[in-house]
Parts: sequence; C-alpha cells; structure tokens
Amino acid sequence: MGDRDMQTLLSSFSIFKNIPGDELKYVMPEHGAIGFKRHEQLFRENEPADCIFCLLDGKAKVTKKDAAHRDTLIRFARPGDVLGLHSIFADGLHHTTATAIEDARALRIERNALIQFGGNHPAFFENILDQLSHEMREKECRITHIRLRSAKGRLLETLGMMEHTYGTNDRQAINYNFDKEELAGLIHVKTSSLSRILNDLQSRQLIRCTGNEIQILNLDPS
Amino acid sequence: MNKKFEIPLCENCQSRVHSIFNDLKESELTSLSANKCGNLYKKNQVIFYEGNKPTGLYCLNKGKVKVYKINEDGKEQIIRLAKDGDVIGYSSLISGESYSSSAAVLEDAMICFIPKSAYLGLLQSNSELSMRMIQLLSHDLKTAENRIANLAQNTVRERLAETLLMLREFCGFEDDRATLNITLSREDIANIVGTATETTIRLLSDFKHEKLIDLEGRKIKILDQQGLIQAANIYD
Repeated sequence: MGDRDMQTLLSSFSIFKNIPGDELKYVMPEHGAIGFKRHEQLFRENEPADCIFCLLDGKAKVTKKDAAHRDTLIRFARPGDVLGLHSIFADGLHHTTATAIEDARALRIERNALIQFGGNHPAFFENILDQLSHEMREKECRITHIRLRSAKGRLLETLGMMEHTYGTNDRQAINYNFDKEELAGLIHVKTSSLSRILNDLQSRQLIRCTGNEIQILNLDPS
Repeated sequence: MNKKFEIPLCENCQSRVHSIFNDLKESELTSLSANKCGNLYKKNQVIFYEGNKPTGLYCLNKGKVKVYKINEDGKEQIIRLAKDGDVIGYSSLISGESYSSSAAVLEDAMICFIPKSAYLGLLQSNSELSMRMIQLLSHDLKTAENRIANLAQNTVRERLAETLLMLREFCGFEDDRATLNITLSREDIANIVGTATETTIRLLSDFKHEKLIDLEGRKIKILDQQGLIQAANIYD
C-alpha cells in the first residue's frame, strides 16, 4: 500500500476529518493493515492501551467483563469505526476486549503518535471530542434501556444493535452471517437454548430466520 | 443559603482544584468569570431537560446533582451523579446535539453557567483544556461501560451493594467515618440500581439485618464494607 493510499484510507475515518492528507503521515502505521481471523482478538481488557484500531473491513464486537467476570456486549463495530479510542486517554489500560466476529482488517495507530499529533493539530482533538461525545450518548441510552434479565430480552437487544450497526440486505435481513455459537455466547445461553428462543421468537412473528440470516419483524413485543 | 448571594469568581473557586478548569491561566479565569452567570438551585429543581438544546456549560460550585434519562416505561434511570467541581451536560454541548439526558439537584446547589461561545472559544485556544475534556469523557465512558456490564448481568442485590460502594467513592463519609455524605430518597437509590422502589426498600432492610449497613431516615451508615464487597460479587 502506497503512502497516498494509506492517507486516503485514514482520512475516511471521522477522527481524521478536516486534517490535510499530507499531515496524516505522522500517524501512519508502519506496517500497513493487519488481518484478523474470526474469533481473533484485536486487544484484550486490562492490557496496556498503547494503540487504537481503525477497522477497514469485516466486523468486530466489543465486550467487557462484569464484576463476576462474565462477558457483556458493549457494541458492534463496522468498517469506518475506531476501536479502543477512549482507553488510550483514560488510565492507560484497555477496559474492553475487541474480537473479530468475521475476518477483519484494521490499521493499528500508536497512542504516542496520536497524542503528539493532537498537540499540533487542534482539529484532531476536536474530532476526538466529537467522537467520544457521540459514544457517550449511545452509552447513556444503553444504560437507560437495559432491562435484560431474560435471555429473550438480551437476544432482541443484541439483534437490534446488530441491525443498527450493520444494516440490512436486500432481503431485509441483518447484514451478518449468523453463527449460532457466537450468538449464544453473546447472550450467555447454550446453543440448544438459543435455538429454542429463536424458534419461540419466530413463532411470535418477532423475527424471521432463513438459513444463516435473521430478519427483525418487530423489536418491541408488548 | 437564604442570604442574597454573589456568584463566586472562578479565580477564587474552592472547587476548581477538582475541575477541568484547574490549569487555566489567571487571564482565562478572569474572562470566564466575566462571561458566566450563576444560580442557586433548590433540591429537586431541574437544571436542564433531555431534548432541549444546550446553550452553555453547567459547572457545579457546590452541591450534588443527578443526571438521568426516562426509559420507555416512564421510569427514571440515573446515569451518573455529579458533585463540587464537576461539569454537566458537556457531551451534548460539544457534539452540538440536544441534551441526551436531564439533570436535577439532589441537595441545594450553587451552579455556574458558562455560555457556549465563551466555553468553545476557550476550548479552541487551549489545547490542554481539550485534552482534559478528552480525558474526562474517556473516564466517564469507562464508568458507563462498567455500569452497562453490571446492569446487564448482576442481580438486584449485587447492584444495590455495588451502588452503596459507588456512593462511598462518590461522596465519602461524614465525620463519623461511616455515614455516607449524601441524602438520597429510596426512589433515587432505586433509580440508580435500576429497580423498583419497593425492592430497594426490602433489600436495604435485608442489608441492615445482615449488619452490613445501618439506616437512620435517609442516612445510610456502612458497617461492613468487606461484607458489601462480597454481596456485590466483586472478586478482585
């Protein structure tokens, strides 16, 4: 990948908007894009937060362990999303784990390069403030609407987040090839229970499952 | 608080050491003081409502404030608490969107208001302040993610124990080194925990019988911190 191409790629990320392409050479990753296989982790909770990842292709999930060390879904990420941003400005440790849920490619940008860059480019800090404010609003919504004591509730919420992040294809199904094991892991049930819950939701006409695809018909069963 | 009051100057603000404005130059502080206004707020008074457009930044000189959202059942969920030196409503101000939450006073408060233009001007000219804002947002995001993880998975009992420990971190103890330095209604506590008020009352009295806490009206005394940590199911 040439420097020009890399600069074009970087400027497509919202944290680098309004910054001249030439200037982006200061934050360019040395080794180009890094590939991640499905299930591979980009970074892990409690590791030193020395970099961020800009997702180029593929899909990833961000999870966090609760007090009892169970994984909770924080969000999904799609190409164009930045992962690990606020950890580098908090206490220096990643407090979430990012895992590819489909094969993915990402640019790794070093923390020190970013902080130095911000010192010379006020627009960059502004972009970061924008980005973090936006994430904060999403988190506030999540806290308010979380009422996920039942596996069914967790499943519907997870599907809703997926549809919001990845959109739908021409069959109105969520743009994601579902893997039952992955989905069961996300909502903490056994794969066999997941099938039962999916069937139940389907018979209540809340979702439609076709092959590996899921279409949301009604997210608000009441 | 009934006497005619004067708006405290930023230069002399006792709460500034805890705030994002701690490192400002004298001239910047003078200009903030000249541009801001301030008000006394009574308990339960609303500072701003979700959905309104922010016109400036609220900075707490003194008092305690809750930031909350109303969920689809019309129930209040408290997202975070703020105290002396904290700013509220800043993320909506920065992103230029309407308020994503409401804020109301828990204990009588003195709150300064910095108009948007003065604040954003300062932010543009002072990259250290930008960095502090980024750090503040990052910290609050981290706290929010912790809350998501714990709200999603823990039992109400675990969440209540955790809330009491969180309150100790937030406001500390009174002189007896045991009583939480905050007066919250049972409803407010329920709205932090994310459960019904009745459940909160029942679980508080369970905790009292287990000698983890003592209750005197709205005051809560922590008797057994280690026991609470266990009840919260916090392993490390």
